[in-house]
Amino acid sequence: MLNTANLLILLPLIPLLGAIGCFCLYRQKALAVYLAETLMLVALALGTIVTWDYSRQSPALAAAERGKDQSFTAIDITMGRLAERGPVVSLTLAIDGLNTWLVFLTLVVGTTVVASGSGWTGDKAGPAMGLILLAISLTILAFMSMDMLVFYVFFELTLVPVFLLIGLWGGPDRVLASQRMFLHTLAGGLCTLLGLLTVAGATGSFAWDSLNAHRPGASESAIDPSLIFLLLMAGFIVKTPLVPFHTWQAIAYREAPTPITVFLSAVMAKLGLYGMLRLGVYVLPGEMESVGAPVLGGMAVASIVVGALCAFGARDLKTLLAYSSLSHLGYVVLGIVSLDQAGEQGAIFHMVAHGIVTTGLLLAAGFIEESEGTLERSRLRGLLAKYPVTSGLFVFFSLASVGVPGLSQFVGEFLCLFGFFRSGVASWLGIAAIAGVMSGLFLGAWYTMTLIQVSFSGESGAGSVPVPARPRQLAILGSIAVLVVWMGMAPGLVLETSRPEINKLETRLRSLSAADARHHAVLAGLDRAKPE
Amino acid sequence: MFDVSIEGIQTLGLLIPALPLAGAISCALLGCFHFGKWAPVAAGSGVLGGFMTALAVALSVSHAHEPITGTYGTWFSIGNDAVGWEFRIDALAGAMTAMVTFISLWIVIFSAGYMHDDPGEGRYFALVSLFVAAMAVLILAGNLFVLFLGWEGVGVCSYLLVGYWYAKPEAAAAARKAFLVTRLGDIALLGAMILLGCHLGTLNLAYEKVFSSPLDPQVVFFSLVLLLIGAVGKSAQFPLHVWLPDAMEGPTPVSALIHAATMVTAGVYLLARFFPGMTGTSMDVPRLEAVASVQDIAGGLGAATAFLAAVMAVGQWDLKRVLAYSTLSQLGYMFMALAVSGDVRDEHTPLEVSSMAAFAAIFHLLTHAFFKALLFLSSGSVMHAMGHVIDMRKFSGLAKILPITHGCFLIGALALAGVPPLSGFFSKDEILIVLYEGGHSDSQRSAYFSILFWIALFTAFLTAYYTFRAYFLTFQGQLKIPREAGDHAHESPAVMTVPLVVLAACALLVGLLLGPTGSLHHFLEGTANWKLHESTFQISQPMILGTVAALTGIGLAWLLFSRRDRLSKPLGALETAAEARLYIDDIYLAVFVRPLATAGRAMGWFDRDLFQPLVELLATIPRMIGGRFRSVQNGLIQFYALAMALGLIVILAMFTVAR
Amino acid sequence: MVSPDLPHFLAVSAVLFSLGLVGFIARRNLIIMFLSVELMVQGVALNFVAFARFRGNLDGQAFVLFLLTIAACEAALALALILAMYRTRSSLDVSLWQDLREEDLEQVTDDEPLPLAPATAPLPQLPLAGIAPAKPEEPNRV
Repeated sequence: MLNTANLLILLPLIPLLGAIGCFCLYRQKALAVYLAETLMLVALALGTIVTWDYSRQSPALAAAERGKDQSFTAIDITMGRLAERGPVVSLTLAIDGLNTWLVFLTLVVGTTVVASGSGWTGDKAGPAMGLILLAISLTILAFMSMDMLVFYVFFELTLVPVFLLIGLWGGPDRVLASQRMFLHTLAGGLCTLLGLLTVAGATGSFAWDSLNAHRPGASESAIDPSLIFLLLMAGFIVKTPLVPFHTWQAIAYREAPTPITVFLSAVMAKLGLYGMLRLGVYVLPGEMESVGAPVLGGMAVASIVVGALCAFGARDLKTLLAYSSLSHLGYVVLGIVSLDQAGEQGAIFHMVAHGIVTTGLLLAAGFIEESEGTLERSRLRGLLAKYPVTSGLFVFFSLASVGVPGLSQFVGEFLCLFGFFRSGVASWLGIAAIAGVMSGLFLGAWYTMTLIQVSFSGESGAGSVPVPARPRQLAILGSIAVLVVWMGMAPGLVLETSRPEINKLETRLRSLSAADARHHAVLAGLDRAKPE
Repeated sequence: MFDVSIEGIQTLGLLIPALPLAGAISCALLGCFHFGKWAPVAAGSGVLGGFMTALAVALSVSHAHEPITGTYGTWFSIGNDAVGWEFRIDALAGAMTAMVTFISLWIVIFSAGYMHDDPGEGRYFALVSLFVAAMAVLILAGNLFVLFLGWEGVGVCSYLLVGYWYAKPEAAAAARKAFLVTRLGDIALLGAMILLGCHLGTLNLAYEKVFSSPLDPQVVFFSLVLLLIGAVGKSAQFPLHVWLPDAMEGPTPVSALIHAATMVTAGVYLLARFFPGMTGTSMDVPRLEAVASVQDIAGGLGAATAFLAAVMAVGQWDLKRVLAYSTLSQLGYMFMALAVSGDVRDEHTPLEVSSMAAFAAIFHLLTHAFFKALLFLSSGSVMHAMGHVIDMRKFSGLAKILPITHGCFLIGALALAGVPPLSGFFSKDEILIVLYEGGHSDSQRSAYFSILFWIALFTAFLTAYYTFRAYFLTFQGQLKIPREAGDHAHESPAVMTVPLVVLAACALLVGLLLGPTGSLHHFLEGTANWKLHESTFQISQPMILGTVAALTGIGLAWLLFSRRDRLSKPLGALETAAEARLYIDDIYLAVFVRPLATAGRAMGWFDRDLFQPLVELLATIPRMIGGRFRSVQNGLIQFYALAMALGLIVILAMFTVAR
Repeated sequence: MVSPDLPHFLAVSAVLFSLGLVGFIARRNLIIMFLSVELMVQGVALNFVAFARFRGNLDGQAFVLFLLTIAACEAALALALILAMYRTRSSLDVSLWQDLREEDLEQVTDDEPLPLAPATAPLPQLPLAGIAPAKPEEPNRV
């Protein structure tokens, strides 16, 4: 039986090699695209095998002895120390319960982005494909890192290819967009670095496993832990983003070429959320409860409401989808700060679900843009009549994003909200949280339905013939639709994968509670969740 | 009669939604590959299969006194907390699924004729079959999650079907309005699920667990209020009723199916399950008070809807809109019935009183489904003949050219008005009796129930009036055919008239068969969480008053018609107001819709033109600071030398002075 | 008469240095500025020699040798540069050379233009009479 863990190192390596190949094929446009597509399909196939294998094993792993290493490790190389007697940095790449499906999501999104057509690249298809493959590879490396500093390095490195992609191939305002994205995210990232180094200095290690097992003692650094927590989270707050640090998002998503917007929205935003989860929940859970819940929770509720309202007023479709993304990821943050089993598992599920749905939405919008030439809402009319299949699939994905049960986003959204309200961290925000969340659910349906009514229904204009969808477009959108329905009706495989890690979280919270009475509230919630 | 094992019933229960779902998938495939004209066959067979299965299940379950739960796997689970695909099959579920699938079958057959030339037939029949499957899931659901799946499923199908002709702007607007208004209710339902989940501490929200768990009366109150809001949204009660009349933009069979017989009844069904369920057998007074308070609110909203909708129907000129408002009014009746709660001191236990009230509501639900679907399909037949014109001012005297339609419509109208011995009479009477007995009981709410009784009676009078106003305007008088009819103005083909006749027969006989014989009462005794006490059919005061009200309404309509022949504006300003839907839509537009749109645009402006420049202002700070220092670089060498010398002096001073 | 001690030598060298510094900052003529720099260098050299004398080792004197060598090279370079600069602007005024300033700053000019030395009057030119005698061509020597 082939040990699928051995395949793991190929997952970031194949796109990396493909990137190098595409850069070499500078002039041969068709060949570069063909190379990129083939390699991504190979990587996706391998990724499917590995993910399937790992997630099938996870129930058994959950039931097995707690504390055992439950990840598939690809490589583990100790690289050295930062300073004499300082923390050890090691290049450890592995998948475990939290990042398996995120790696899979990156591969799926990457394949669809590369396969969706290279018309936007103009003459320089080779470098464009190379940069996309590089971005994919770096993101997978970031997700797979089990060492904080290595994670940070790859987290910041992903900015470089995306910056170039937006700045060179984007819309009219591309320079401002890419500049803003880069500077905002970098500024946040530097704060995170500061927090990271402080934490590593206090605990003596950069690796997840040892941080997981760390018992906070009197030897913590003299700096206020709440400040460290906020510094640490700063980079991820900007990356996701959350109100009020979201100003880079609308313009970046609008000016980027549509496949890059897909990558930004579906994958890069999840890097931020993943960082929040790993670093916030696992490394500093006490601060997550005391500081994170009011601050991050408040920002999340604000994001939900502001995102939905701004989406209504958005002037073109990609800006609308950017604000929609801002709104939906607020739910994920609510799940992350809940420190509740349902909330955390729901947050991880919702990350993957939202990524898939937003891919479908943006790709369908991109296909419409190819034919219409513009995505300005004042100029889009009667799309269902003009492009029945593509628009129909867009409407399907819109209904999925509204949260219809049976499609993927409902399970994640519900579990995030349920975990948030059950765990009692919501008491900090009280009525504001309830009002914000409920209105956010309604406003989400409101702007979506208004978009469909104004732009999709109605007459298509005199003399226009319905345009059938191209087979490639249909194949891509169809497979995403199948994924959406599968995740909605049978979410068990994706949901259960994170259970062993969440169980570890519970153990850690209990050990912390023995040391510090602050965590009793959360644990009381966990105890109530136990079956009688 | 049917002796099927429990496993058999569980399997059959799964088939009830599965067969229409298979039909939906086949229709979709047929539509994709351009065999759309075979779609009605696929849909029809799916729904027929569903009906046969539902009938079998209903007949098997009628003798069981315990509901049969079927679990078909886990949807999702967190830790040991699992949400399963659970169906709970009892007499009520069996009866309702049988009714839904039966009516859907005839509507599918009718649609085969009505939508004959439409290019999107595959999509239409796929959506109708999907709707039937979702409705079956809703009815058979054993826990709140599966209920919510069916609930939203019918909502989405309704949205897609009302907006079926998507190129028509009014249809698209109506579809959006329907979805958004019901979404408000859906969010409340979601809130109830989260509330109950948090307080029960688990995701397992099976009905038994919810009904039997000890809960704070406050939690009971709030969760029931949220469920009530959900029901109000779905069943289009005041104040969330505004979507139903607009939803008439969809094809008429869709209106018949969704907005008369099935989807809008989901709210009534939910409350008919929850009010007796939460009342329970424990005589815990605070909990009973909580449930009774919510029932009062339900009754109040129902009464408001019934009355206001009847008033609005009086002024409508569009035949389908008259029927839409009459649906609202009848649903209000059902909510009024559900308001009756019992006190601990009454001769019957609170559970028995609630169960009888729920029984009355369900009886009316069942008969209303038949005659309302009949009325809508008849109006569809009229539209088909009149070239899709439905404004009653444009045609009249159609009795001569549409004999079968005329006869069926007349039967439906008599049933709606509540004339004995048609079905509407028995079910409306049941409700009047429940309200009357509530008004004469020892309960502290008896005055309230009396008020509801008199409102119900007056609404019965209005119902008869506007129904027969519509009848006389359409079918009696001089023959007048609009231009758009062309050569269509003849009776509809058999595929459309046979369903009409079948439904007319049901409207005639179902009431007689189910009501006075007590067979429905006996059948529904096995419903979970209900406890029906014995009742016999007898001539009583409410029955006489109801009949008098109905006949008075018919008489008034006939009087005005024969006098003025136009029934136009006898009440002047009131009718104008009624025609304008009592301006409620306009109020909503001004108070909610426009401000919300403005808020959205304002927020977009704020983010784009105020907040982003503010952040950009932060970015100009380094540039400003740099600008201050730049004036030092003036290119004069001696200036630089002077600066160096001064700096040197400062450092020397620091070293010597600081010593 | 007080015997010369280290502070006296340091005072002299300080005076030389400050005179040079002031001259560099205050004078406008390029050559005079260069001379001031040389003066500063000599002041420093004197300082080194004084310390060498009063510490009793020859490190200071060794360093002065370096210093003089560097001063000589520096003189050559500086005068070559000044010559090139003169050729471009035909003036030895340092305030003409402000091109390395920031773009949005204005050139610093005098409030009143300096009284320039009157241009040398042209040598008297006699009208040509008769035939000009033949002269051997002399190469132009600078």
